[in-house]
Amino acid sequence: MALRDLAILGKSNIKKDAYNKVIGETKFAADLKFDHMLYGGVFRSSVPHAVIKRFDASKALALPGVARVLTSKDIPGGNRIGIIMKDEPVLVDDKVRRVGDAIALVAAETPELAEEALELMEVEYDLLEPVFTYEDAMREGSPKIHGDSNLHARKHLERGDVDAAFARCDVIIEGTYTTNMLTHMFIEPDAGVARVEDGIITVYASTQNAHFDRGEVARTMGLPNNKVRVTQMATGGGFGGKLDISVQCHLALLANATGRPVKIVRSRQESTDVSAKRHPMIMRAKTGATKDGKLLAVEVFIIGDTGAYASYGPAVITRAVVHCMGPYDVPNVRVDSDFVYTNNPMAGAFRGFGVPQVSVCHEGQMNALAKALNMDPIDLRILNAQKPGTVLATGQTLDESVGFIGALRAAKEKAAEVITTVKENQGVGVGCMWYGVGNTGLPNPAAAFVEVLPDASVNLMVGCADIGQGSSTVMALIAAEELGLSYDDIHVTAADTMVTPEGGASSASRQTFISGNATRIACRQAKETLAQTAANFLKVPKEYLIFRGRMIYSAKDPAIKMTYAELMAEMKKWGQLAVGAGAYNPKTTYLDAKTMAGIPYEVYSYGVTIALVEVDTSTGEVDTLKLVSAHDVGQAIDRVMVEGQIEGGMVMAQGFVIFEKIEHEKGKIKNPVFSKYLIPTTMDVPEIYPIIVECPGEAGPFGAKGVGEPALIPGIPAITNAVENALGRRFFELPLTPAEVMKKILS
Amino acid sequence: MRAFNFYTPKTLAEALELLAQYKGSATVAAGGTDIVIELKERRRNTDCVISINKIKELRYCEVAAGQVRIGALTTFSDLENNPYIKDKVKGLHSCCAHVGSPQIRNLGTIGGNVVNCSVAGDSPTTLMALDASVVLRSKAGKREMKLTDFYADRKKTRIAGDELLTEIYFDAPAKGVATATMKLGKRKALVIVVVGLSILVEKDDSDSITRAQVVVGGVSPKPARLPKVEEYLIGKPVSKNTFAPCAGMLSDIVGSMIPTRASMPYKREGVKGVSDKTFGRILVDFGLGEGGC
Amino acid sequence: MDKIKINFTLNGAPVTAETYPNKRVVDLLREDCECTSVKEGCGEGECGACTILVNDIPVTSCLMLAGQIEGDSILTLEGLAKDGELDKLQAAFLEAGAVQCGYCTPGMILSAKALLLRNPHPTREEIRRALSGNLCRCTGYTKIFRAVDMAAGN
Repeated sequence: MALRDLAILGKSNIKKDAYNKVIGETKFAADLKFDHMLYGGVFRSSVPHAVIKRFDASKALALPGVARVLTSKDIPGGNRIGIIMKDEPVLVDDKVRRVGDAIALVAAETPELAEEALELMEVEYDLLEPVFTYEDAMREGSPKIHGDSNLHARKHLERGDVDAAFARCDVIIEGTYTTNMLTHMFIEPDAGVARVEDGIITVYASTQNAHFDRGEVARTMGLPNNKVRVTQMATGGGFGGKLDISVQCHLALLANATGRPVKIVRSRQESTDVSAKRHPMIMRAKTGATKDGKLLAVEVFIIGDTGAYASYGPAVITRAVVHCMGPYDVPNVRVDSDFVYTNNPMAGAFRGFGVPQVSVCHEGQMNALAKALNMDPIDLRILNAQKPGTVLATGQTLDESVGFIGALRAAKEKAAEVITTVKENQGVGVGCMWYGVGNTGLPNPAAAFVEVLPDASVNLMVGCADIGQGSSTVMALIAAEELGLSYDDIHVTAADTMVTPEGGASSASRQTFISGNATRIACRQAKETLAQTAANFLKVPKEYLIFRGRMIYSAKDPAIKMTYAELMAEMKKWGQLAVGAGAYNPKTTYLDAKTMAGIPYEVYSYGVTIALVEVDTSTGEVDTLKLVSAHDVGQAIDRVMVEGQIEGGMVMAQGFVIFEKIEHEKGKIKNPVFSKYLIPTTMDVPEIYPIIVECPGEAGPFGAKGVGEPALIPGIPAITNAVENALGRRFFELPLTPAEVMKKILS
Repeated sequence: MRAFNFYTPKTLAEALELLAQYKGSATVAAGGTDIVIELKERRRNTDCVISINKIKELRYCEVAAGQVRIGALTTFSDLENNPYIKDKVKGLHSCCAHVGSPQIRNLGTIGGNVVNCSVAGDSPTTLMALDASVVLRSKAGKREMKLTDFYADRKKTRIAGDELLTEIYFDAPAKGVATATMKLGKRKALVIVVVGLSILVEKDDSDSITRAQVVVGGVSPKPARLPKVEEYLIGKPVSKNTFAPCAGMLSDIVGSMIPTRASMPYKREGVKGVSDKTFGRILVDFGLGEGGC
Repeated sequence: MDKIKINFTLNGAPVTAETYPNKRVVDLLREDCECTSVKEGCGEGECGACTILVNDIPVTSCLMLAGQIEGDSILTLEGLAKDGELDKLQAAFLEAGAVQCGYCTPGMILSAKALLLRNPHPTREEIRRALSGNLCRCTGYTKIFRAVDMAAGN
């Protein structure tokens, strides 16, 4: 039985963007073409740490067809960008901090000429000693990458008396877990076009956050925010990798300097070399419980390498620390974490912001605990599961929308149905996760504008970037539900800074929750006027009115009703406009600097995966056969879209566990292309059984929470645990490539 | 991509004329799957590209006079879908069916793969196990040589600048011959070979092995015939027990071929599994087993 | 470098293109023929986003030089719908929810089209194999398999 009485939500619809995508009409940034357009390129450092002694572009400039070469001296505004800390140069001015730092820009008549010009540029470096490891970064007297310390961030979280609690434990599990650097491998490499018209710089870009881009471009150009327009083009996947500035500032500089439209399309290699990576982490954990399996204490120490620039590093460390004990009720918790700067590739946001990494740790610990206590791993989790009333390590008390136990039971039930036999060399594993929706302990509002037009069609304007996950569809469905109209009545314009209000990043699984709430608030505001007009016409108090199925009727007497067309005619007659502006900022608090106490998130999503794998013990190959994954999403807005997130997330989890790792040496990535960085193909993917769990709670729009990142996370520990189960051996480092599995088999 | 002149000869004679004219400085594109990347990434520079993909006379696979003759421009898909290859030369069929992706199999040619001679090249290992020969033509004439001789040195072949590899041929597997190929990769599609193994075994009426050709790929600049394993097999009965020790022999050989490479420990172990499976397929092909040693 | 003249059929219509020989087919189609549904994701034939059908056979257009398609019949996603009516595969991709970011979609649909042209009722294994040269990072492929099943009437 459905939890809520809804007319629109919880069904399946054809996504707003899908039709143009299946007929090949959708324009991505690289598809744009303007008259007199130039093609840009970026000259990048080949060394990880150096001062530039000499840079010479004279040969490039002499090449016919080269329009301009720009260096840091040509930047009219500020030369530091970054999502949280402004520590990355648009073009290197003081020193090079990584392989791939941008040193100069070129604009030429053709892409080939731009490429040739880059080959003609000359640079000489004074090499500085590079730093590549945590130990080197923290060593006294080590070369400093920024300022006077390589410590990028340090966090401490503490609740209860951890030492006393460990003394009372019957069983203590200790383990150190390592996850490696990963890359997003969105299929569309970063691209964009900029042009200047009537004093406005417009940047068309592949991006997850047009409004952030606007601010960075404006500061770089020394312009007010309203002289920069960033329009998000269809974006071919992001997963966190298109949150940082890629081509936007470079394009604005070139378009401004040449007075002509300029396009930059990164090659796959350039895209991988310089976009942010998943933070590699080392996690040392100690978990204590009673002999009955009740968790008493967890202590974790986390080391992370954010590379040359902060990017989303501060968010990743905070989120990792808050989530690293897992979705459990743990009364005593102590977490410490250090993230350092190195001359490695920059690490930042990647689907889950550190939670995928810590899930390897907390679930590795829970599975080991279940084994040590000879307990069923699901029963152990149910015993310790967070539920309404649980007090978190941050001191926050969960009040509603905690669907973890429901997800555990749903996954267990489905697994019993689809995993009936476990053959030799096969193994079953379980993995769980929780995920706070939105940014951690920080304001992160989003807004929406809505207008119901005279024919009862609707224009909805939201800042949130639809990168294929379907946020525009979600917003349309929420608006249709709230306004009592149909999905097809709603047209959504998204992520265009001259048209839409701020939406914040399409990250942190926040848009359904935050932009969704903003959309609902905007619709309610428009509905106020509509309801007043309808109330006057129908002569019933407006509180009694129900908007549903393109009708407005009295809850007391459904025979008292009018159509939307009649209502809009009334609105016109009385000179009324149905408009709304909504904004929503999740109810969180800043976290205490010393203990991290506070309310980091308004709601949490939960997920449970059960995996069946088979290991070929003669070659070390792991075949993922079945994945059952149950996700508490509060309320499904669109079922097929939720399933799509889960299926995509599960396959990304498979890549995380079995295939993927960025190999880098002396700061240079050795496998930046698809032929060397392997992601799962159609031949690799398992049967996936997505399960949608809904639960009471009204913080989100109609109770909805985010699922984008939660869809990935539990698959990672589940597949890992299944391999362990198949072999009867534990793994403490991912990925489990055939070579690593073979090594373990032989050990 | 830098500038170059471009030709699409329609006949072999036209192509050979162009090659002679450019005196070895031309680049030949067959399927183009390797060459176009090298040109795009500016790793290869050339004055001239001769695209031979429209030379219809070089795209065939025929069996005559006890030999299988394959035109150089025959694609992997052509061979994958060829009923004779599928039925009678299972080693080659399996090899072709697992090259790259469907799109690459549709473009990539067996001749191009042989001439390119990359470590990861799929077909040379198999063709060497079939003891194949190549036909090289130039305006001046025609040469033939065994594939083992064609691969001279590290990453080099014996093809001359004005020559075109036009055909690959090998003895049609007679009754009593079984072939099998397997490769170990890191995932199931679009795989680069970590270790490849291709085997031909011939037996007489009493199921005694009369000929064995065993080739390993992915562990040396060119695929390597393994006489030690071949000698061991000769005269023994076709059976699981005969084949089982090959895994250990292969493992030792692979270990000694790449003693210092970081990937050695895995390749040395992984090749055992590949050996068991490949010989298992030989047994299946002989109708003597269900696979696996 | 001299331009070369290439005659071919594009989405059913004869075309003569004059272009430089160092253009790849993906560049020719995108830049000279307005077929921007042909996507480039890797430039090394690994991702399949640039897949087109040449004489009904799927190939990666980033691995072909423009001059190599002389006389051939090319199909891109722009040419799949007939008179505004979607191909069964396009309709099925919509219905099944097989489209997320959409960057792999053109190549994916064309690989599936080539499969159905030669095998109208493929098994799941045949679908997996036919699409194994098209990478998707969003969907986990599951709804794409479903879409091909639907289009095949499986």
